[in-house]
Amino acid sequence: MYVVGIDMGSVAAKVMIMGDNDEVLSYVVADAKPDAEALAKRLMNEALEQAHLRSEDISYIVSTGYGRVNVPFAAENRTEIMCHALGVYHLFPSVRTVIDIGGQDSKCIRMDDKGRVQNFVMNDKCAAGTGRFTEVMGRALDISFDRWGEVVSSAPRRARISNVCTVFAESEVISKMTEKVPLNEILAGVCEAIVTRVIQMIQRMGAVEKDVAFTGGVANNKGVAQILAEKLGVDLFIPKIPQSTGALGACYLAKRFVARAAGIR
Amino acid sequence: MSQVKKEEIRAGTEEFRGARSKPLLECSRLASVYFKNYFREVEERAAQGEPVIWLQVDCPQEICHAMGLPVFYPMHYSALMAAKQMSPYYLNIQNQRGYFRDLCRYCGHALGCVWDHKSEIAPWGGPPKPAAVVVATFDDPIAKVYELFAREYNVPMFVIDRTMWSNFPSRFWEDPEIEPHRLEWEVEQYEGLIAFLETITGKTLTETKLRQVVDSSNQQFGYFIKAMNMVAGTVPCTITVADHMPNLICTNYFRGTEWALEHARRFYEEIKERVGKGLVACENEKIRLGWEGAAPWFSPGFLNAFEEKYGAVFVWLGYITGLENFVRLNYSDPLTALASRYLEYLAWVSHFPPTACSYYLHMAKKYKLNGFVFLVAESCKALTASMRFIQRELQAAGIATTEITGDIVDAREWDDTKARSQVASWIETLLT
Repeated sequence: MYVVGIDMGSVAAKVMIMGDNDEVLSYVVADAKPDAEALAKRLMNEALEQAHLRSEDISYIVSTGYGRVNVPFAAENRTEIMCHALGVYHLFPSVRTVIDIGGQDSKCIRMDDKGRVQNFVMNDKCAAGTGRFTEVMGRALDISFDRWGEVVSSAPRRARISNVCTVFAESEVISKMTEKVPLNEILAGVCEAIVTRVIQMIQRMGAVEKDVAFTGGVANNKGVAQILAEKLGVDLFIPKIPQSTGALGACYLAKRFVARAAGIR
Repeated sequence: MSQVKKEEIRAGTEEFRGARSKPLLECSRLASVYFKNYFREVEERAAQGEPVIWLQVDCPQEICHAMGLPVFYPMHYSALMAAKQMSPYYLNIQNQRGYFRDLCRYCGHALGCVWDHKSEIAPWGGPPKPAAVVVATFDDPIAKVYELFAREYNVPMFVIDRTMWSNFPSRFWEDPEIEPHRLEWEVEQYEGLIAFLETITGKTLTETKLRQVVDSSNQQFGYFIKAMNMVAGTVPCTITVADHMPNLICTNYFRGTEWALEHARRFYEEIKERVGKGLVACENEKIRLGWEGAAPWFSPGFLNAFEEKYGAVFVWLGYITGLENFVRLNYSDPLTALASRYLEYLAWVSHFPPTACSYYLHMAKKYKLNGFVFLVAESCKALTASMRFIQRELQAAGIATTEITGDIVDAREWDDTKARSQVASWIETLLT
């Protein structure tokens, strides 16, 4: 049996094909496009090719993410909250809190020991504390995403970034650069600002319950991950491909639907 | 030309088009039709020189109805502007004129249309010119908004100085006693209002007529209470909030009029018939929800959006509620009855804890609700200030809650995809 999970995020679309033994046979990613349906079809074909499969081999497709309703060939669609939780549960069964920071949104999910969502919070309309914020800051400081970890680690102190708005924070960063504040301290301050914003969001759900997973594209950012772990006082569980948990969870959900249908028969 | 211009404005100001609600009752359609017809009638009467009174919804409109005065409600017009998808256009005008973005948008929205002076594109041709405006002190900006109306049209304004409860009753829906000095003060305000209206309009109010209107309004609300009690008892529910809104809200603007009483009776009979026949709103009902705050008027259909896929039905709307308190009996004179109505009204509309908390819990149990969605309209401090307290009370009683950020009339800040995703995600957690 082969199933497909499609995560049509606001910034990136991901398609994953999973086999009988929960093995990931293919995983493809592309930037989101205005024509989401065409993108989903193209990525589906690429994923099939990568897995050496044909569309007739697929038993079930579940879509999730912001654009989940734009996948007409999906048998079912479910929200990303449920799919992320399920994906993380299968990777790290001990996790009870998922912090997901994507390109344009951030969320925190509390789940139980069976991967069921108990509560969640999402960011408001503001982009501060999301991947968009890191892009803007990275450009302002001219430090690539993959270097944030080493740069932040080298900072003896952190500059204080007081603005919560992405636009104003960028101005603040530029001002600090003009004042010759060391770049590593500014970057460390930026990471701390992101983490502070995320923690404020998490606190709307109450105390953080261990174990904690960090997912979404921003989880690749070692600078943010370092400071998040420090502020929460935990070791974070970070998937090898942090952006893939939505599609992964959608695959597991597809398997459940198949199993349910078989059970009815 | 005006239709083309209207479409240009709508197309230019937003790509999002709100969804219409899906009412089931014939009454709902009739209520909407009546409102439009009444608006036309007011326009005609204004054109013939009759004085039109602009009123805020928490003012004793019964006095105007008893005097036979045509009335206009800027707050209702605000909802209409949003429903016509024109809120971005008008709110931008307000902001350009210095109306700060975080000030009340729902009650102040009609200012945009008033300041625009373009009846050819305004919904229903724009508001009729007032002879006077009447407002009660409540949240911070409302009296100022009405002052701006008055200045714009160079007409007098009457402000009802409304007092607040010194000790909020915890179960206000059980008709608590109102402090006598507050009642006296409110009645005195109404006497002043009557004198003001008689001077402005040349019409006279008789106690007989006022008593008749108050009695009719009591009967009107009596019908609604009986009807909604039936609704609360039906599982699956017989109607959703898509039918509450036009019937309860529209008639709320015509308290004590012949039409409102007749419509309330019609509403009751239609509900009774549906219940008798076992008709339900959603065969697939799995989750019963309450919606706190007004619906997003630019997309009231949002409240029907979760029925088909999830069987999640909004059964109760925490907006025009506290109906029990609208019925004012056992008063010697109609003015005191009215005064007590509006002071009681203040108790639930203020949403102050602990009174609001216990009320919402009471209604959640009455309507057998599994959860509540709170629309956090950041520009409406009056409705939103106590939402977290109410949520905590509900959660402590095992009723799930979630909140989405948006506005009652401002479509500029509405991310429909995200809002649907958020509510859908929450519903999925309730179903698993």
